[in-house]
Amino acid sequence: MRRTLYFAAPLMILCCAIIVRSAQAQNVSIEPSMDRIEITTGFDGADISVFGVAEQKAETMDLALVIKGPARRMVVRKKDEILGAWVNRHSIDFAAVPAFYDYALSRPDLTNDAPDVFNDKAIGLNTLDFEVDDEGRSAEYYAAFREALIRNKQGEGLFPLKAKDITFMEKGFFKVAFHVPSNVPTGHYTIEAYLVDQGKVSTTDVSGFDVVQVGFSAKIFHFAHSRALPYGLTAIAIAFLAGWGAFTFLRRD
Amino acid sequence: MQVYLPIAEMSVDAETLIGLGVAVGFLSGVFGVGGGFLTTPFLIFMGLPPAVAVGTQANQLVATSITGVLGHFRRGNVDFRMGSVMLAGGMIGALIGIFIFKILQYLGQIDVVISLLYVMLLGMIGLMMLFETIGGLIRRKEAHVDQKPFYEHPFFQKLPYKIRFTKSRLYISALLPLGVGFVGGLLISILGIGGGFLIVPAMIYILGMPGLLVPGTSLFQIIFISAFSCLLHAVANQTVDLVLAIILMTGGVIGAQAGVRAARLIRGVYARIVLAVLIVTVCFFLAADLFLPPTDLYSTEVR
Repeated sequence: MRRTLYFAAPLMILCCAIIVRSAQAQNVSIEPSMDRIEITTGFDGADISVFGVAEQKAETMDLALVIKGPARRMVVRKKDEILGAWVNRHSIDFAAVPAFYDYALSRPDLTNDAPDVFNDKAIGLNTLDFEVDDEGRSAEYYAAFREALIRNKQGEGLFPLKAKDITFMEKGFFKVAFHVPSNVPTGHYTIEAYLVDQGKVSTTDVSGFDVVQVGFSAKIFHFAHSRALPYGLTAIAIAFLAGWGAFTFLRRD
Repeated sequence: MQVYLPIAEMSVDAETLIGLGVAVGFLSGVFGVGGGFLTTPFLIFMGLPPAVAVGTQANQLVATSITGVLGHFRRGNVDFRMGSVMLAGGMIGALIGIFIFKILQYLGQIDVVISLLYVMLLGMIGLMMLFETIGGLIRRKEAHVDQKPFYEHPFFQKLPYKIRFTKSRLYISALLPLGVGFVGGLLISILGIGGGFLIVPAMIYILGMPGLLVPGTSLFQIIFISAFSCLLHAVANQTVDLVLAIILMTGGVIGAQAGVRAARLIRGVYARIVLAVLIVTVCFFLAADLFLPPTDLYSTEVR
């Protein structure tokens, strides 16, 4: 009983929050199951659910959800054979690549119905632009690098292979389960919900969560970045102790 | 068990890391080598950023060389004067090495340079060791041909700034140990290895130091150069991962303990052959990676 309460209480608060917010003349509203993902020493990825309520006036209404991590500048390099060795030769910079990206659609073929809308809102992997920081090359040249970037990100589990499903419950309530792998960078992640009606976005709602390092690993990270010199000296001191300890330990036999 | 490395910003399998530490510690116990040539490529293979692998390895090296030097120090086998001159060269080498590392990293060539240097160094040393040891086994006691030692070459004799090294009973140009130390410093900061396998032969053949003093003196200067290099990596790149270093050190202490015991049971010649084969194998895999067409031509990195 107590366990049920333990789980039910936050869900109820969540639903109340959603209802209150949706009363403000919006007809789609979302809220993540947590607003903070904490990276501890034993962090092995996290599951995050997004709950929401959508007021569906007509059968034709559809829903799309997008999660985006903080944008980063990325370089994609291509190897070429030089004297028998495979060496990085060509590279292109992409100015704004989301560190993490995932999306959910109320039906899988949704993007085909209104491609312009989805391109506009960057819903779906093939709509992502990344802002190429280079010029004077053919479109195919850039496309190859762009595809490689997506492929690499998918390999790391930071980009999805396909859209997630949206589970509809009663009275317009819905839920989407996302997974965040252990190698996610820290920062602010945004969640966007779009209600699509006959090829047009009728309403949107934006929410988000933060990925932060906490506890021991956070302390080390901050120590290393904010006070680099004392950190380096500490590392050396630990190594001195370990080396000396190993010597005395080994001599005993 | 997964453990999150705060500086590398990823989680890795703790058992694999401890296993790596134990294996490398075992090797250093048996053969007296630092084992950095195994750790760095393996960490990169596990998916760690090369910069973190090298930076952390420099820290790890401080511990290994202290354990090693204490034994030599007790037996009085360290030439501090020679070590200090090498150290001066090493510091300059480490400083320039870090700079080269940053430039190569920006150009996207650091992985290739690391692999290429490893293939060259390991291939050279491994094959030399293999042929020398096997050759020695085949013709056990062949009369040594009377040949002038390499270090008596007129070029080395004519260099200026001569200093007397009483402990080593040498009167040589300070530029020689300075140069040898310089190369060692470069290796530590670019490759994250102590470079003992290169420095030790250089001290014997180029400086002409008595064999007994070589390992202790080499280790003595490696402590300070690796500490210096670790500090530079920590300040300039923030790539020293304490969690990673502590796990590797723990494994290393356990492995070294077992290695020292095992060393008593193994005949030196066979141990050398095993080490040579191991070095050549690592070299072979790195070379394959460099020269075989990669499965994916493209790679990505955060700027």
